[in-house]
Amino acid sequence: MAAQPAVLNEAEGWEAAVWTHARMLYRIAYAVLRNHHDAEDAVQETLQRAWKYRHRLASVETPAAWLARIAWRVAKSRRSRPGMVPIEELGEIAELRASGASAEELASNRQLKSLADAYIQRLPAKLRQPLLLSTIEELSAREIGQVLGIPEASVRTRCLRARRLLQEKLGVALEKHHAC
Amino acid sequence: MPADLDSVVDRLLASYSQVEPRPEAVQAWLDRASEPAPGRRWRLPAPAWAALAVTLALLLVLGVAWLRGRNHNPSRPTLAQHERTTLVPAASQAPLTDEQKQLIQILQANPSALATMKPGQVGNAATQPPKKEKHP
Repeated sequence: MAAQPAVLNEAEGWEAAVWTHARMLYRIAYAVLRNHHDAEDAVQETLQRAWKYRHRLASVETPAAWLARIAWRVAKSRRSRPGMVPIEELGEIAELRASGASAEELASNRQLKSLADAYIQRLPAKLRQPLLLSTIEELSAREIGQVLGIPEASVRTRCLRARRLLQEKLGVALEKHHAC
Repeated sequence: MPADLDSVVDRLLASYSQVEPRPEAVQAWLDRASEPAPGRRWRLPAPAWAALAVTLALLLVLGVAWLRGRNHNPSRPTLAQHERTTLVPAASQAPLTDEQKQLIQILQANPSALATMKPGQVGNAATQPPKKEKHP
């Protein structure tokens, strides 16, 4: 009869962990797959895998990083090749920018979002991966490092480089279109 | 003045993964996580695979043994399994002796009988009818 409370604790711990981290897992999957349906499937697979090793949940240092790592791997394995950059759609963004639209207005523009998305997907994996995970507010730089298996300092450096590269590419694309 | 690209990128990245799962999705994930995956439902444990492998190996050995046994003719010595004996008279017009005729009959009818015969028994053996083979 002594084993009964332990089993219940494990089950309760598992359920609590899922409720706590489901949003983070969903965001990780969505950051990689960029599709709600695929993200839901990826989270389902993540939790099925995690369920098999749920006994480890109590002993891991950071359950969030442990689950995030599984979600990251699942999402990566489901990720398809990045699409082409939709250059022909830049007209509206360039006009909006020239008309003196605010950063908020520009950032909420659907075309700019899809352009940034395409550029992010085409970043080198070494830079793209920490950048994608850094967009998930629930994950700290340390946890991102645990997910990717790199030091925290490297996470920060790579995110900065990825950000600069993205900014540069967006700037070049918009300037080029404006000049045309 | 156009907006600063730095702050645009800031906002783009901030909203990049700001999505929420459907409220009912979490419960569904939780329920399905503990169910066996469809593909794994028929997955056998390791001992079952081992037993299956041993059974298949045994069947293979038995099959090979049966095939070998099928081609084996116990009435002839192993080394003579694929031998053919042709009797050719030294001269076509030379008459055969009775013993030679009987020997030919034995070779045609029951060659294994020669293995247990002694010199001089040829005449007796030829007179005996060949043993009938039992068919199941």
